[in-house]
Amino acid sequence: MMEPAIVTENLTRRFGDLVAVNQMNLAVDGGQFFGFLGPNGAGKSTTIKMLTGLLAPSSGRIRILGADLQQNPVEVKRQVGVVPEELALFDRLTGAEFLVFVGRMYGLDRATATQRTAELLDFMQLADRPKTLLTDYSHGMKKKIALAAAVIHGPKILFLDEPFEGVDAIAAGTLKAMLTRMTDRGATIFLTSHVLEIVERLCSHVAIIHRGKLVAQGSLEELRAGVAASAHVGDAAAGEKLTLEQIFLAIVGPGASERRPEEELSWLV
Amino acid sequence: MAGVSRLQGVGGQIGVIAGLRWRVFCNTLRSKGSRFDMVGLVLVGSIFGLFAAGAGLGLGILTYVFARRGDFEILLVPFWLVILFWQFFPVLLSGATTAFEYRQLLRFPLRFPAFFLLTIAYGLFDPSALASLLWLACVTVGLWLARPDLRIVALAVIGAFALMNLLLNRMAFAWLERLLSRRRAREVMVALFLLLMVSFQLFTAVGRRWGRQLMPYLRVAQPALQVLPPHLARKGIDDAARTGGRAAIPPLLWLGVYAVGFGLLLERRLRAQYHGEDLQEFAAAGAAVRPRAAPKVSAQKISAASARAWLPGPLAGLVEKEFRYLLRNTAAGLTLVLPLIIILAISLSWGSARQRPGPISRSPEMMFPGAVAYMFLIVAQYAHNAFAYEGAGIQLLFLAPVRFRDVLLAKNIFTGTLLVIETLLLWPLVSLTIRPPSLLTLAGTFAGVLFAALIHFLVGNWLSLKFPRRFEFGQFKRRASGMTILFGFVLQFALVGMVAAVLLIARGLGRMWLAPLVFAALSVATLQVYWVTLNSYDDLAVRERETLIGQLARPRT
Repeated sequence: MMEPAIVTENLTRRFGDLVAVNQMNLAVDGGQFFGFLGPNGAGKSTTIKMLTGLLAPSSGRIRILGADLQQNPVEVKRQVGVVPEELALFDRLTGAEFLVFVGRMYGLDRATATQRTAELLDFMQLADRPKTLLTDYSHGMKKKIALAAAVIHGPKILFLDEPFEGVDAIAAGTLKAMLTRMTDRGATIFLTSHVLEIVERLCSHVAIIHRGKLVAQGSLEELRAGVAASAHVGDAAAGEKLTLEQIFLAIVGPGASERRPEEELSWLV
Repeated sequence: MAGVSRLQGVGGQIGVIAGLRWRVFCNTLRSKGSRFDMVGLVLVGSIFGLFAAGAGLGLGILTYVFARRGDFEILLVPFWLVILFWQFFPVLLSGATTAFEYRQLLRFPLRFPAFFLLTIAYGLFDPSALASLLWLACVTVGLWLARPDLRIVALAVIGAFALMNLLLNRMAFAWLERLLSRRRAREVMVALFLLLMVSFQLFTAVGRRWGRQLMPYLRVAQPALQVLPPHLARKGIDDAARTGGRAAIPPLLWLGVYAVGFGLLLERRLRAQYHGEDLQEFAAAGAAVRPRAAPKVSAQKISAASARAWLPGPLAGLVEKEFRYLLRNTAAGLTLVLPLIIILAISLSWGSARQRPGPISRSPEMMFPGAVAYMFLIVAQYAHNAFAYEGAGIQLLFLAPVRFRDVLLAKNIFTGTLLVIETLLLWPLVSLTIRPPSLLTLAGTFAGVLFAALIHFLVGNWLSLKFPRRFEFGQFKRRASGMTILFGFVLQFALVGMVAAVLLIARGLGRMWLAPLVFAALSVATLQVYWVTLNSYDDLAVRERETLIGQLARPRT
């Protein structure tokens, strides 16, 4: 049996007294479009930082494509692409210079890096600004160039932290199509987003983290079935196909929408 | 709406903001790093305070002595000193920050007078303003003691002069802020200020060579100076001392006109800000690319624009990136030109026919190593905080399949190349302005640079990983961490002292061939230690990654 593309064993990260990620056991199979969800401060970004080598775990293990991340960091990183939360851009380079640089950092020869750079800039509709420095790009353009940099070496696994935030609808559509094609060809995509509609449309499998603990994991259908069987969903929703938002609220937010009127801020207009 | 019946008064609003500033200050002291920084700041502040107090005492005594003799021309010295220091020093220090944090307060219902007063209050707490006010107070006391009859006049004229300076400073900052909201303008401004700094050295050299010929032209410009504030302030006190207090009124009124003029210009700028002008938008509009039929990037063009691959793998990419960053960093680039200009000025001055021969001034055997040592002190600092300009890009260095050993090696190759280029430029510079140094001196100096550079890389790599500090592009104000400054200071002086001692001993023994041999031997030993140490940086970088990303990826607030 093939080992999953991403595996964590008892992954834990502490910041002083705060346990940001607590004993997480996660498994993502190869070729999955995997959505990683959680409320603000649940530990999503901390997890993705540990999975990509930006943050050391306090304890536990991470295996990527069968290799231990801490023992073989260079070999693992060669097969992984990342768009981190704070975009890892060298903002005094032009888009083309940056992509060639990233390509070379990932071991591409100059000719290949140059060829792929031209193709990516064209695909991302960034090719008409050859002399513009990244510092002068808009937020959406920065996201696009960060995504281009994450895929220039043809990674087998892609980690995306809020990749569509600030990207216009047309560009987002193009990017989603590109990502879906990547999974069709066998790449694994690990995505976090607050926009549940995007996750629902793109992802085949989802995990939900709450207060540092993994509280749900599986395919969307498995989660639907699990939640429908529980008592957290209202009668109205019980007979319909549950949306991801309903599943999410049922798992991490039971009671949040059940505030009595007298508990609300009465002085608000 | 209960509790929000009316807006707070101006005093109340300023009080709330003062409380906020205090809270922010207390919260910044929570981390150990910030407390270290505060200790450093207190130490630097104390030194600056002592300097300001000493200068103030000197100016007070000077004023007293000359005022007793009835000579008030001397007042031009403190008045010019104050206006230059108050207006230029803060701009040099802040370089080109685009936003002052108090502007964020405009989202709240702040009254305009409160905003206006806050802007002025920020100007009063600037170190240069505090020092200038202290100096003016010392001059006033000197005048009071020397001529008690001039108390009121001195207070009025110097008070008006101080107010005019304060308003000029705030007005200049407010307008500069608008100008500097464009990145390119910021960089040009930094370049101009740096050139202004070195121009004083050049003026001195030019003055020594062609001073007599230039004097008649300078005399022609003298009457125009009489309408400038320092001359008006001097004239007010001087006239009152000669013919009575009323004679001070016209110069005083002119100082008032200056103050009102600057105040109105400041008010106009602040009104625009108060009514919602967003300089970020202004900057974005300036940076926005106009619609045009731009050529698309082709693979051939990218390839042609890139440097040739002369190093293996990612190392070449890293070195190339360092050079691209240098070319786009006006402040850092000019730092490299600075030593060349200053050494040119010194060489011109010392090499002039009127200069008497001294142990260093006419001897290239001393001048060349001295010039290289001076350049080294400036350029080698790059190695102490090697990740300063990476910003969020530091994450990529951790995400990419590259060893930190290679990252640091690339940075050392970059700094080493700069040192070689600068040394090679200094050689013809000294040769042309004085005389060519001997081959032995050349060999000794190059070997000394190699040894010193290797030691610097050895220590600098460790400092860069342990005590990183983010620097902003286009900003002249760059303060490394306290530990980096301390280590760098000790290292620089120990090395310069050691190299100088070897050179002097070899020269004293009349065996200059000893110096290159000693340095070559030391370099070989250091190179071995450097190479072994380089391999340990992978682990250190992994251990320090959170500090590095935390310090470098997020802009400082």
